[in-house]
Amino acid sequence: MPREIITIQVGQCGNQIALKFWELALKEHAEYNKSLIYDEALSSFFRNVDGRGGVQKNLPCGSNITDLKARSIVVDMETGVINNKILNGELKDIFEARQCVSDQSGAGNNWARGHLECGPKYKEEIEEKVRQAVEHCDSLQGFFFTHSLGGGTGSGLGSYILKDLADLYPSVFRFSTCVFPSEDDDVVTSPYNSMLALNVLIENADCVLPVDNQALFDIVSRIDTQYQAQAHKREEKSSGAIIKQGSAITDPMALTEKKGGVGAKPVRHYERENSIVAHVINNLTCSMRFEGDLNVDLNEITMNLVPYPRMHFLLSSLSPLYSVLQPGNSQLAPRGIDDSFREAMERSNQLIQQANPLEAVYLACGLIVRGPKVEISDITRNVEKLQKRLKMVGWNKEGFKVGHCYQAPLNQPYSVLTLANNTSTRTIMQRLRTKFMKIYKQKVFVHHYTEFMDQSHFDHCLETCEEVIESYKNMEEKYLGKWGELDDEEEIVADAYRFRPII
Amino acid sequence: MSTVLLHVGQAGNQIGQELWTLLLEESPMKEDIFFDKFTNKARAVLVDSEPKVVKHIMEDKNISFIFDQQNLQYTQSGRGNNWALGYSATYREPTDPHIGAGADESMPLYERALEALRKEAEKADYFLGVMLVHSLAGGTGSGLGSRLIESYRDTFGKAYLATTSVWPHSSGETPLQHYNTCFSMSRLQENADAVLLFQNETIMKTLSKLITLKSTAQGHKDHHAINMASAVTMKNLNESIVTVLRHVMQPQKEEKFDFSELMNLACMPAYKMLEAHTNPLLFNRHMCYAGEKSWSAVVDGALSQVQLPATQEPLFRPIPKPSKPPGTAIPTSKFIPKEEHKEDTQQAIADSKKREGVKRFEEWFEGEMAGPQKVEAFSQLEKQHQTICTTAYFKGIDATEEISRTQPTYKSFRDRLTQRFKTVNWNPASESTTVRIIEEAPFRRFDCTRSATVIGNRTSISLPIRKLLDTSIQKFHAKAYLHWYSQYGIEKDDFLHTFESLRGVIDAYESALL
Repeated sequence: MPREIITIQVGQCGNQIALKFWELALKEHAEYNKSLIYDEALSSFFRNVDGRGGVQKNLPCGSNITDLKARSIVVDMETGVINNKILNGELKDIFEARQCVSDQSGAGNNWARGHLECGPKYKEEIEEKVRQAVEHCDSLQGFFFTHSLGGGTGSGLGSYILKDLADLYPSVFRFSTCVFPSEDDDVVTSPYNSMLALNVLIENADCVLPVDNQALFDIVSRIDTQYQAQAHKREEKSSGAIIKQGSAITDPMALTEKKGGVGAKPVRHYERENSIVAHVINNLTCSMRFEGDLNVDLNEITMNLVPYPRMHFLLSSLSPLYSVLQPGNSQLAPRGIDDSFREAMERSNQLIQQANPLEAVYLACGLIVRGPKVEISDITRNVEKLQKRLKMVGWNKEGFKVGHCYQAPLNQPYSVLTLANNTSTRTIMQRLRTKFMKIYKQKVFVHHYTEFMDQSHFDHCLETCEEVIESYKNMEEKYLGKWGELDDEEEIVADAYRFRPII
Repeated sequence: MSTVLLHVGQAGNQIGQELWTLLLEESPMKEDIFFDKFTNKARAVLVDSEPKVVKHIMEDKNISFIFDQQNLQYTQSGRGNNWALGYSATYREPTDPHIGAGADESMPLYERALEALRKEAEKADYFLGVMLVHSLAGGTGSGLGSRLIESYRDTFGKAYLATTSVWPHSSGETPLQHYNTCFSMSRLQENADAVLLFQNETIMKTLSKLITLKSTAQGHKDHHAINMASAVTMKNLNESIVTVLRHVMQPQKEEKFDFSELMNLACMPAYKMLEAHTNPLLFNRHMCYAGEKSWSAVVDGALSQVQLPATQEPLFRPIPKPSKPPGTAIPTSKFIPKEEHKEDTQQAIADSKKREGVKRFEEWFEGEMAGPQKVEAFSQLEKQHQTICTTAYFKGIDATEEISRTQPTYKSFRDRLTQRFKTVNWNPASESTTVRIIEEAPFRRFDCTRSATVIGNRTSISLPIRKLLDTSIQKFHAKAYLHWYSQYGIEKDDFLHTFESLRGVIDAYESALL
């Protein structure tokens, strides 16, 4: 009877990320639960189903695992991903056709088509499926959305479902892991789609974890280079020969196949990038499933890290990352838990590329630490170090939310996930706004959208986005620009309560 | 005469697990103090809004059998570190048909908890009171705990209410800890009779000193190895709180916990906040002495844990000093005036070092002290905060012969006590300091021959409360997180009332010094 999470995967990108996530979840639970009993940890993400006799029955916790079904709703407006990967792929046993909603034609990379045409068309079907999934839950904690913002289905239909569920189930948290388009995105209308979807996210989501494709690419290539450098050293030590750049040995794909790093299969496009995001989602929910000293539930994450209702964009970064991509290779490991903390705060490990959080102001910072060997004193020591290093906003100098879970992630002794509510998330929105303005000024492609909606909606979305950027900027300027001093009004208030020695 | 222990929230239940493991070993059931001798069940009610910790206790084979099933009340979704959510009388979990054991499904958690408490109190022959164990910074322990003590006061007017409250670490356990602690403290001040405050920071410092002592003794030179060896776990924190509780609640074998000692300490309604320390501490299931095992070292070990107010950090960043007018610049000329040109170079070096040291101290001190009023001497701060009441227990097999009243050791220990806990002038030490010498082994199970416990009601408790109030007001003026509280019924007025009542506590304590 523990806390359940329903994943809503929308669009091609959303479904691919989610697939990686399910794969990881299954592996983790297999690692943790050797007894093949359907325990409470499994129950957060999966149902145990007895399908004999025609009528499906849900089995309670404590029963043997017969048939696990994922608690998720799969939505896509074209059949490619659903048919190939979900219903017929490696993980086909955890999905049923009953939880999928699909169409043939796709949403044509058009937010308006996804939101205003497909949305109402499939509203009842989606609501029915969600209702069924919710009934299977004892105590639903939250909805997890995975989608991209640049396309049509993920952004349009995804944001429609988000809005709908905000009305139907207001007390259930809505988390969204959304992929922002990268610099060299191939979809021309992605700025429009992203801006329009961002508006819905600002108003209806409880917490958003933005992910930048560029950052993921950078991480993967960096780990590959490091791995190559290690391999070089090993090669040089063993053979004494000098390896030329660009030769067969330096090709990462060839290396991984030789050394069996990722596996003998060819690495598919985006697979490693998606697995990073899957790890983040997994670590976020680990406290709900596994035991620990300091449990951090989803509602705690939202309440602690979101001081103002609209500023709910969290910058996530994960450490260590090496084994996400090269499992079993411990030469790239950070030296200890302190190193992991330090790495987790570094720009190179975060999932948004252009944000520089150390220059900007932290409104709150969440740290989710996994691993049996990490103790409260390690955590406190590192938090104290961080307090000195990070620029926390004046009224939240101790704004750290720490969670600790005993279960270590796969193949690693410990991990640190940082969820920072930092004002530098505005860079991602500012970048989006610039790209949006470039094409909106000329009003190119707008006619595709005005088929379904009014043009003033664009302006409204732009306004909302600018408001959020302004509020982040205000926080930053208030507490950075004037070198950390309080302004006049606050000085007077603070003075009234200032510490004065008695005698 | 019996007391019911009420554990609320994650911290409360984790401490409860350690406490009951200890009590099961130390205080057998036939004594009828913590266990009902007829049903052999613990007089405890465990309440939590998420199932994990309570389930963990039920799975712990050492103690799961002592709890009555209907005394375990829990729900699923937690209270999100939100005092308002924990306090709300009407909050129901979303989509939650199945709830904790023995529950009436229509009742919200706080009503079920109150019902369980009432039943437990009625079982006893002479119900004396409740000891609430909770933390102040979270959602359930602080919010639901506050709601429970208010209802308890309404239901049981004359019974006592003591609490064991865990004060959060100042480096931040959760960003909402300040608001939550403020609200809880104001409710405690209104409703509780005595509050035993345990500050996470102090305990961690004590424990890490303890471990580094041990590990350097074992010869660990590597910094990394010292960090590993000196890891303080959550279990250790809980264990040290539990050791203190054991001494406070049952100083002597077969003595019933009748709240009288605590009420002596919390002598006036304005002064309820107590702090207790003990030496040796339970650590990883061993008794760990800070230093040697002689009486003198044991007593010193306990006293050294008592934080002197001088060690507390300043509350505000120092205001930048006004720049000096140009004429008063420090002369940098190379000309050394004749009188400073000493013949004796040793003396000169010593003098210059002394001057340098004094100068550095002054600069440091100016930097540390915020505000235009500098306090001149360091030791003046020590004089500022005093103690209202103290109690000490010296427990050991050879206690009477080593420390009995005719011997000078008694006087020296009493002196050490009064030195550390300087009493206020309106409540002199002869009246307010109680020393009990108890001749028995402190623990049955553990190898421990001597122990010292000190409990003090000190005015320096106003310092962390000031710091807390300051941070909370800053947050409040920035309007941070307010929407989470107003969602569950706590509006701006409630915040302002709470700040006022905390201000009252601070004023009361500080006026005690005058």
